[in-house]
Amino acid sequence: MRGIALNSSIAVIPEIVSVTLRQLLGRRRAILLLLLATVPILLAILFRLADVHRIGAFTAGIMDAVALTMLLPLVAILFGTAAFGSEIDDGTAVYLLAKPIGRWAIVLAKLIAAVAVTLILTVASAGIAGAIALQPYGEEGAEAARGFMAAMAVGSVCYVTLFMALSLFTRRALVVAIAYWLIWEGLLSSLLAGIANLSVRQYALGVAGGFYKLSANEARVAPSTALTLAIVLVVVATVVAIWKLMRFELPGGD
Amino acid sequence: MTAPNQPAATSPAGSIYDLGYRHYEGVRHGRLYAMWSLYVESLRGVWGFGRPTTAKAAPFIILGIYSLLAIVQLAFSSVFAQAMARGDTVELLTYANYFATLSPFIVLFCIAQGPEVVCRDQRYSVLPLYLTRALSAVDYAVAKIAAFTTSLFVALMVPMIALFIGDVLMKADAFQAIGDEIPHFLPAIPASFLIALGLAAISLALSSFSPRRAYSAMGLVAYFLILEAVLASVFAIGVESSLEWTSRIKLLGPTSALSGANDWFFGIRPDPKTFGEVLGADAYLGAALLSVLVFTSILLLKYRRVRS
Repeated sequence: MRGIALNSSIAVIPEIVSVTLRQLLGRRRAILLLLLATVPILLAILFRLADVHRIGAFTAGIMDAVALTMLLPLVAILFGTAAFGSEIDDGTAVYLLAKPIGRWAIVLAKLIAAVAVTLILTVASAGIAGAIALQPYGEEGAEAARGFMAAMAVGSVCYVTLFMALSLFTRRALVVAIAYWLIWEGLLSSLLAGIANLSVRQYALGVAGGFYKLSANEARVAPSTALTLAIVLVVVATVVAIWKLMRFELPGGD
Repeated sequence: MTAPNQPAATSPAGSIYDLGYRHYEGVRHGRLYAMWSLYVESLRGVWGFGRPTTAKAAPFIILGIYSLLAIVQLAFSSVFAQAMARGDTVELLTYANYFATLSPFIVLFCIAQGPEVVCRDQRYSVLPLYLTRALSAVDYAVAKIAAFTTSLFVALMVPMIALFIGDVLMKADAFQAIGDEIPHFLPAIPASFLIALGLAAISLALSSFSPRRAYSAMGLVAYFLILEAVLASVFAIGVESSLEWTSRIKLLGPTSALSGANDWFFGIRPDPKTFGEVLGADAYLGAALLSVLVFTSILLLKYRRVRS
């Protein structure tokens, strides 16, 4: 980093962000993601039509089980691992890393791009789904919908940062990320109570609990603890990603 | 290229240009042998044999986790035996419910290793090379499905055998126990075979659409996990309200159809809490067989036209 002017590194961030956005929103991936984002909305419409008279059924059955546990990690895995992963796979990373830009600026730019698309997609999907399903419940419904959106926002930032850091350590980041998601987040965090403090899903549910009273079974971490832990996770993962990229050597040959 | 040399009269059928090199004069083993070779090669590929250690990590770690609980149960079988002597029932995992309980791990195996079987050949454009000689496109697809089905069958049977050993060790008289236990164990063989075939057909059919392993894996995640979660959510909405049709929705789920079919082999009713009360195990068996048929056809059709 020595010898690289701070200003020029900052100045180039928007450029990398826009290039990354174009890479991330390729045609096939964009279609798959839009399909995923419509899933909670379709479920919310069904929920409304089916006349279920319980907010709890929405928060547990659609918000937690489908959106937060399934769709959000998948979208975050797609964007988080692709932000660096596709550049390394395609061999274009060399053009980026050879430029006289601080590596921290590259990480931040990639992070901004990946977090932004994930955040917009998931929070918008959650907002629309919440508005459709919870509209008949008045103020209480609005609280739950806001909690849903906040949970998606916290989850997006945490997951994307985590998976991006991971993608710098292994070229099979996708499979490792899916394994982590299924085993750690899916299975262990619901089986063993102690892991709740180390689970992104629990952070998201904890923050949602700050807006709307979830059952103790669902939100196991207090809102303030959840937010603090989430911030710690994001900062640590970002620092690790920068540290790793500074020592990153391009795979030679292919 | 201008007028290649006329093939010599002795030249074997199937050569494209005779460039004047020395001919192969050994035995030609033909299609079946080529299919067998491809089968063996793909089977080795799934488990990472003949590849670096890193390629062996994923399949063996996932198999390890999948069978871990059966092995733990085996280790604790003596503890269980004492409890059973007191008349308590401690059957946690049985031949019948093992797949339903731990299917996420076997799905993870499909996601990690399924794309491995078919994507590389497309990514590196070697598929046309396979198909110029003895193998036909159908042979290729059949060999690949057979290889992945065998791998999954082995993975599914490991915990079954661990449970069998555990149950036999629990009893005082081992030979008597083997005789008693075999009738319970036998349905696991055809059931595991059907599950393996179903998962293999789905995994390879979906993987064959993209030469990139990453995209294939995402497709498998979407089909296996997201679809299953959405169906569970629709089912839950149906339970809360008065919708009728939602109790049949699990027929569409890839793993739930196979899990219901698994129950058919053991002659039990699918759990009404997750499958509803309307349909019996035979409906899920039908759905599982249909899905095998559909996805095998998709795979065969996909290889009818091969891009070079």
